[in-house]
Amino acid sequence: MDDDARQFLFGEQVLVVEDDAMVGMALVNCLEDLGAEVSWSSTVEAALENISAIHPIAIAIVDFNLNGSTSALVIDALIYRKIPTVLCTGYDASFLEQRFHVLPCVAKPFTRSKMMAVLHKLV
Amino acid sequence: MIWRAVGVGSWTWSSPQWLRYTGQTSEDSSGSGWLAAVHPDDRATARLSWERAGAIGEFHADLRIASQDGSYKWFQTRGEPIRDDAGTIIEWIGTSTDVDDLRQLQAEQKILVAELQHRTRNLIAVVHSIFVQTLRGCASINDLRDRFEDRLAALSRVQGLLSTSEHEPITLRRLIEMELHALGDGQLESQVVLSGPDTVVRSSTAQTLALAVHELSTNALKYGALSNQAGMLTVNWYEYAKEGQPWLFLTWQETGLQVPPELLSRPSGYGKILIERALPQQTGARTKMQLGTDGMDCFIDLPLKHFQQDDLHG
Repeated sequence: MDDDARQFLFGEQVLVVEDDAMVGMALVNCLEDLGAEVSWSSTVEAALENISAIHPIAIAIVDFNLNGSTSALVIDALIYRKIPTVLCTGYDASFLEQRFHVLPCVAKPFTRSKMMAVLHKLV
Repeated sequence: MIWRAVGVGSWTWSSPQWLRYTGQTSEDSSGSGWLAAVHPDDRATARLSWERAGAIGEFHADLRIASQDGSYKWFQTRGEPIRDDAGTIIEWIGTSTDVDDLRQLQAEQKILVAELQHRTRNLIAVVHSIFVQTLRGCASINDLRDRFEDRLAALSRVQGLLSTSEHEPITLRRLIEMELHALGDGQLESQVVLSGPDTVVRSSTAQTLALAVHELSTNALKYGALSNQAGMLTVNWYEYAKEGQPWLFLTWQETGLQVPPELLSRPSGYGKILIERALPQQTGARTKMQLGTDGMDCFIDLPLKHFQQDDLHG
């Protein structure tokens, strides 16, 4: 907890879409340490519900693989609403659909410093 | 199956095994007639291999060959040239060996290796996650070491159950007994009552559930009902149907504590988040933890079938 900009997400709404419980938990903890209010969903349906219910979402962090399907629907909804979005993927990013290539992408397992660097650029 | 050929794959003889397997006659198989028994997609490979064979002095190709009943099997086909005194190839003798089982095993192995890689990555992510979360709120390096080793041991125990889960389904009872036995050095039997059916836990749920049980058990041992002789831990569960789907309702109840409730520590932040947030996200469960008058109560209402999709991701 020795980052220069501690709590740089203070009071911001952050959406996490991650189906793995342990990975999601670590991410939520990390974001809450930074002061964010985190909404965590692990399915496409729940994520879409959160996207329409929460305003404004400052940042969304989305795992590309959700229980064997993809979160493309969720990402499209976020792009449509111009919400800054970070993609997480456990695999090679090359198979991502072309339209998602513009989004920042963090390979799993990601380190805290890597995630912080990406978030800093977005806020 | 043995054959003889001249030129660029022009067969002059095929063994009785070839005729029996393919249903061809000697006349059918002679010349390039044998190609009719080769899978249409593999005929180009067969021709190319023959074109190369003269240059490299060896024929080698894996081809699918049709049996009489029309089904295909993989054969490894090899041919060696016979030369005259001047070194000119005058004939080829070759064999076709059934490697279908081998190919199938190789395909299965490929799938298994991919699955293993997926699981390994996932496990590393879990260990990483446990570490960074254990780090939060630790007072010292020693404290960190103890807590981390404790959780790693629990994770390792459930991996043990998972590794044999194909032959031996993981039951809720085994999962809880394993955790309490490991933590209590087998000394807790008189203070623990487990009651419920032989409910089988899906492997995708088992890991998170085991870590949750670990947190509850650790808490009970350190601060709760199992921290002194007078306490009792009762865990009971039953299965029921909700909207046509099987659910499990589990009650973790600690009683008989002499310590005033205000001195009771709740599970660490980690345990609380694991049970109240992670477990619901992973499994679709509803959970509740509360400090009763004489100890910790925890309720877990868990769908036994996945709320969205099944065990694809272990």
